[in-house]
Amino acid sequence: MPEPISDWLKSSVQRVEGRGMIMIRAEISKKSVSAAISNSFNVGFPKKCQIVSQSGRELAWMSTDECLGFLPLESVSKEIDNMHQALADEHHLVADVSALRVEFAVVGRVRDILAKGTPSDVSPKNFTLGEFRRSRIGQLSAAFWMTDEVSARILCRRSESAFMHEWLARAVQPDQAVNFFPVPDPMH
Amino acid sequence: MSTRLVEGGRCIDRRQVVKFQFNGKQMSGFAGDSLASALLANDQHLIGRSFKYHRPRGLVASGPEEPNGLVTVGEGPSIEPNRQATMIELYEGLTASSQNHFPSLEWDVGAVADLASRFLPAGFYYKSFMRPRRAWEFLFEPMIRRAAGLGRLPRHQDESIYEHFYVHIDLLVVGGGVAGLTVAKAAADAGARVLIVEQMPHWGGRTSVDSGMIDGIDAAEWVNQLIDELASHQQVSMLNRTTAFGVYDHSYVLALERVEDHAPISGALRQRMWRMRPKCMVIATGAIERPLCFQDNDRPGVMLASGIRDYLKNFAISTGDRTVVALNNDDGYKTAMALAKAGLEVPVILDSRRPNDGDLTQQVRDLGIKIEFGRTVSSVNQSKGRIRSVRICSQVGEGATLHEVDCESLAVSGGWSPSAHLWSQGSGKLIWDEALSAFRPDLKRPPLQDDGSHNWAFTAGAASGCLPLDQTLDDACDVARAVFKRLALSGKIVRPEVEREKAEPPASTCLSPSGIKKKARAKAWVDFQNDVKVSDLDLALQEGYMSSEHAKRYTTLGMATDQGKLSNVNGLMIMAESRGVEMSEVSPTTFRPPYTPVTLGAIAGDARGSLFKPYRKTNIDEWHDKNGAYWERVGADWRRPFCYLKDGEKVREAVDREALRVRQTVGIFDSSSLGKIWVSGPDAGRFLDMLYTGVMSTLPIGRCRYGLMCNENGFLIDDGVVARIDETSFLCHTTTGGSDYIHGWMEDWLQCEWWNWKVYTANLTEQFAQIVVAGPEARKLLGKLNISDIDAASLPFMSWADRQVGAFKTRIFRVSFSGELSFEIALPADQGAELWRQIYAAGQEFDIEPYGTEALHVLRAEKGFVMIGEETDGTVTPQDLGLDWAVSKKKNDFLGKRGQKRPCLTHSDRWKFVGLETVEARAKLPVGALALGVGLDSHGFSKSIGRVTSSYHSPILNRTIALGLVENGPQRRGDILQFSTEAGPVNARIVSPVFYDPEGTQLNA
Amino acid sequence: MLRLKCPYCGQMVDETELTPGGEAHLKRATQNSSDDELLDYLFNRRNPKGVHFERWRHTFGCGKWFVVARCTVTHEVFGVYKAQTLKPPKSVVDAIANRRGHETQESQ
Repeated sequence: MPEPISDWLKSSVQRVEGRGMIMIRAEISKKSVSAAISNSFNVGFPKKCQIVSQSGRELAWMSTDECLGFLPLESVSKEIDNMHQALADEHHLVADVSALRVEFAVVGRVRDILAKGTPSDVSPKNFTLGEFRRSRIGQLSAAFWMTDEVSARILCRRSESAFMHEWLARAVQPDQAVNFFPVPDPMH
Repeated sequence: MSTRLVEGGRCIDRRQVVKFQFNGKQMSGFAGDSLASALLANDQHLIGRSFKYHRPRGLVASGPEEPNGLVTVGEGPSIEPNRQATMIELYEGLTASSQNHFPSLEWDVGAVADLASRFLPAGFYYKSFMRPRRAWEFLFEPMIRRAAGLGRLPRHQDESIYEHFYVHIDLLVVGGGVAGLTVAKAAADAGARVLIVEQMPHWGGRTSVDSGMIDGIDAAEWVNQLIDELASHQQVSMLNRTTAFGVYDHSYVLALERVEDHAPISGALRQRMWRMRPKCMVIATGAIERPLCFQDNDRPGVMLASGIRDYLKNFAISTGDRTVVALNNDDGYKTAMALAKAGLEVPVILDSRRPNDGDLTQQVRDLGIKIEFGRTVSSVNQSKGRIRSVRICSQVGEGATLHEVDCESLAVSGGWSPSAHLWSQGSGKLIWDEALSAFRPDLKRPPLQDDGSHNWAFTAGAASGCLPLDQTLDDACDVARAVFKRLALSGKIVRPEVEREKAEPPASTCLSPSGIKKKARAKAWVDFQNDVKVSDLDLALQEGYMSSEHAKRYTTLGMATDQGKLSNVNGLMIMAESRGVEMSEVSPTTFRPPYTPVTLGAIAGDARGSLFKPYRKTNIDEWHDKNGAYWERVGADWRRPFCYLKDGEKVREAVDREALRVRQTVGIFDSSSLGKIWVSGPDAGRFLDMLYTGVMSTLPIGRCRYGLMCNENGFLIDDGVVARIDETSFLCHTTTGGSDYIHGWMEDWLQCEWWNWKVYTANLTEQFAQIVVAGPEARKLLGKLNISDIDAASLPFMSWADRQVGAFKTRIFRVSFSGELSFEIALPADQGAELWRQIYAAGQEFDIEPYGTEALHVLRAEKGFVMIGEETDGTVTPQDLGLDWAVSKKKNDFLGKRGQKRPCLTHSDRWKFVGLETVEARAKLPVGALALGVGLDSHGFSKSIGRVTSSYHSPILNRTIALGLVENGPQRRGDILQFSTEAGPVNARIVSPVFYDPEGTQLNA
Repeated sequence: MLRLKCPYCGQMVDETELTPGGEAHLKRATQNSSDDELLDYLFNRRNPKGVHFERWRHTFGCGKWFVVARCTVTHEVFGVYKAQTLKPPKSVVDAIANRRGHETQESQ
């Protein structure tokens, strides 16, 4: 868990360990398929470019035929078996990708920090809670979403995680704050 | 003498004295000064020497249009050359020096160029430096190099920090003057998200200096109130010190924010590049004043009228007790009035137009200032580098002196040009406005947007050509209405109360006088920074350069760092007049970004030093690092151990040691970076049959097969082992460099050609760490870890199996690139480091050594195994490498099959794969060395008949080995070829490429 | 720098999030093709001063290939569509005809 912020305007970044992830590829535009996935995974199915959270699990829309599920690491192999069953009648691919990517938690002026690296629109109007973006941060491929107005998660490939960590550590420096996007007042 | 007045100066804070140095002299100024204003306050009338003729120069303007005031900031190895003094904010300890002179600014040897100027007109270098040709090396080139450029280069790297910031906004307003601020306020009030950028540290533009009356109060005060409202507005962000310098495709606009330039702190963020996509942009960048062209118009003390009043109002600078004003338009009167109101003397205003009774004329007369109509300056008298007096003549004549007037400074105003650079960069067109005597945006041909519409960018205020305050505000309101329409906003647009100004039209010539004679034309400057004179433009025309684009390139007019801000229009007017064409027929300059120079560091942003290029690390990277890894970059991004250096070893020694250990006992290798692509679905087999040269669909479950991939040209692009996992699933391995590429290649064919086939791919390269244990003792070592059933029968060569290794669930592949008994163990990447440690510990009794990429390359070369990127270079087919066995004859179709049938790829003279043994065992063939054939080719050059593709020292054979491609190679075993190398010719015999263990006994253990 | 709307994920995407893929709607030379047909497929490309159909992949994103009808002179975009088609959809052809008229024939 990220450290509590003493200075409201200070931003910080921390690696998140221990989450399981599974890749599911199937014809998710078909209602029967998305329903089967949701039922097996126990999370509502996300719309395009969205992420849905439910009881400690998350399901994110990755592409027109791909989604990414987050769950406890110990549940991964059982869930893969279940998912194969659920999609048995469909052409599908299910794979354990728990080690493939690394997750970072960023706290503070997260929109400003993201805007330093992604050409994607992260303004409050166009990037809200529940939106899941795949883009780049600096030179790295990344996915990111907000968990609340001052917190965001960033996903990148494991091999590039050291580079990403260094980039984020630079971006959260207080003397490089841009203060372009509004941040909610903690007193209200 | 220029001095600081005791009162005034809206930008300076007299309570804060700031000390700085110029050319080694200690000086002081105030907080808020620019370096330029502080220099003027210290009566520094000389600022540099001109580019070509080394003429003494002073400041001309007050902003980024300044052509002469280029200085070098800093000392020692970290200097910054060519910075504009007008744009440097004074800070404590600033050190600056002038440029382009030797030995000093006041006494410059280069001034001989001015004396020889008759022989150094525009383009002189096209007609000189011809002979003797040999003189180029020792005389001409060194001379030209020394003379070129203005400043000197620093020797140290730029240590400042830069970053980027991406924004998407409804409205971008460029320019913080009254027009821009008015539009911004209206849009923000109506709910638009607005960003305003202003290049100067202070807001308000010309209105804050020239003032007037808006809504019944002082205009400067009115603007201040507006600024305050905007600064606290929820919908608005304001950036000062920020120059929008470029408009690019699809409404992409770049701006540079000078965050800490005015107070540089080492290690702090210096500049930020804003990368913007506005839905709508308003260019309210004002206009730039033009000088007049008369003899010696470049003397220190001759300045733009607006510049003089900027220095007066903003910094309380007097450029001289007595200032003569020469102008051809109304605006210059404001300078005369401002000077008079500050208590300074204006001996006379020279208005080159006919007498008029306009409002401004009357106001000036009321102040007691004399005006001479139809008159202008013909030349300037100077002594000791300072103006002593000006000579006055008739505008229409040839320049005969009517009388002289003593003065210390001369203010000139030759007209105003709307600053429409961003409009033009965005593909908007300019049109000559006769009444304005300037190019202004052509509203019928605005910048185009990507959807074919053209209402995303507007100019407002002086940038549109609306110079008087009332017209500016009218225009701003019109633009606000257009912005509302574009952004679908609704709200009120309130037009402020301003008095109508009656302005007299400007005159449309810059030559002073109109009939300026030949001798004077050779001393009348058009482009100050590139030292281009009126006579140079005459010369260009004389030599046949009719089009303005040609003439500009020939004379270099407008090509300096100021990009012709003061010279373009004057130059075009002079050329038009000489050619006898109307200005409306002249095509104006095409403006290209950047508007002002941008430092390279800002473009790089955070991509510097350790963040320059992404590096990819395997999960075992830390262990490698702690154990002496000598790193190399592989496949552009990965870092892999080339070898592991022990106890002061050299690289070659380490590689030999590692390769030998693998052959003798056992070695451990990290192959995690190699690509692992999961391919599954009912059509997976069919798909892989198309992608590989061999047949993969028949691969039994549990087995592995070596596969080659070619492009449609027929050339090899990758190789790797394919494993059959189950009925519909395959795991394809690729080279490290090929992992993303081949995954992309697969997706390309699946999405764009065979989109009805049911195949899914997943790039699982990073999901698995992969550890290779190779060597005669490999099986024994793994036995210690209690892995069951890895004997030759249970896990034969080219098969795979899922096995438990202690606590780890792994998949073990029996494949070998080293030619030894080899097991590749795959497991989730985050567990790789721990398993590596356990294997390494268990391997101690077998003298296990980690081996790097180079040792592996030696081992595979000893076995004659080809390597993608060494034996292949994009022009090599499988048949060239003797890999016909891997190319199916039965398949109807696969990628590259048709390409390989081309005559050029099947003819018998193709260079084919061989081994090469140097005749002298210690001699090493360099990779890429060419083998010489007999005789000469049709061009008279030696023929090459082969090249070296790989070359190593083989520790087990105790000699060098090499692989290569030779014309008819396999048929020429035993032949000796001569290779051409830098060290001289090296002879080598063509041999079998398998140097070691040709039976493969080790492999199949 | 181009900014395009990915027809799969619906995101507005910067050129720097994409990988270019050359001319669209190339017809793969089969095993029966002549040497000339093969060389055409491998090397000859249209180079219009005007509307051009080109492929882009949303690499830093959903990973899908799409086709863009773009004017090589002004960067005007007439349509962005999914790559699973042998020729441009009617809506794109119509858009070009509406805005450029005479160019339509040439671009086909």
